[in-house]
Amino acid sequence: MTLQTQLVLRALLEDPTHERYGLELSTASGLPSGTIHPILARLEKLGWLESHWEDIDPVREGRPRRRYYRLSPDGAEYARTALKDARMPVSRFLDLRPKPGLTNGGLA
Amino acid sequence: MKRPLTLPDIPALTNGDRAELSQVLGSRQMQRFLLSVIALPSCTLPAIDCIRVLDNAAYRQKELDDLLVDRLFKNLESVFEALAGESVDESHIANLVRCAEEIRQLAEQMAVDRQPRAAAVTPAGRATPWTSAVRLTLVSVRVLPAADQARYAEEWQAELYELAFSGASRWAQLIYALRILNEAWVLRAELKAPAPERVRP
Repeated sequence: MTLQTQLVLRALLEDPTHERYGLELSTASGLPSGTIHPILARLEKLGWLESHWEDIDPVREGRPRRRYYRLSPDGAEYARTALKDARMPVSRFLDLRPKPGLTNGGLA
Repeated sequence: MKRPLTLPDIPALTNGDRAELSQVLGSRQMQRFLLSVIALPSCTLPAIDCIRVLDNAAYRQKELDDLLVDRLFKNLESVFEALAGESVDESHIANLVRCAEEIRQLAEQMAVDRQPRAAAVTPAGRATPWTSAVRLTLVSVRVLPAADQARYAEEWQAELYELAFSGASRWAQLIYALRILNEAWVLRAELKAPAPERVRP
């Protein structure tokens, strides 16, 4: 498992019941948005993640719908096990990684 | 034969601008994108070589001079000229042309607009993202499988709206769009891969 995938899983496991969209996960994991989406696609294909569109009227809100992601019930369990078994645990690197917030334009 | 594209003079860039441009454009993903989209490796060699030089310079944190950046755009121009004479899939050429055009136009704006600015607002009073960043993101969508394009077009545009709402500068929105472009080919591979039997990612 790559370090980037571990960072994404850790961000999702901070609150497994909480739904997040791509930019939120990018900020939480410290990874660029471009890096996030292939990881989310792979986890969704594995069944570890569930996603759905935000329930809004884009015309009234004046913006497109967000895509929200959340760990599936099985996915949360797999994620915990996988992080525990990771050969190069991400915890070793977390202290070295800055985590910019959305105030910086949402860029990681 | 199509008329070759001509690139206007590039305005003077600061050292910081050049370094950031090379960091974004000099990624290996961009090299693979060029190779894969147009499927004409011989035509892209000059552009890829230039990108590789920029990549190495950025890696070694060397100061860049105008020549390296100019070479990138001149080599992109030579790629367009070579493609104009080839018989290839039009969609591939169109994708690369739009991509490079967007990068060129956006690079011209870099020195002009690097500060957060009051964004355009919708009638509902919500900020909207920079049009060029949206267009560049939609170029990335074309790399993806057809069945997934509508989803990611909306998802990535939503993220650009979030950036605009948060007050991100046009430069920050450009960086977002270029990073999406850099990884679009990886996402394409993930989406096209068969569902794995094993559980681990």
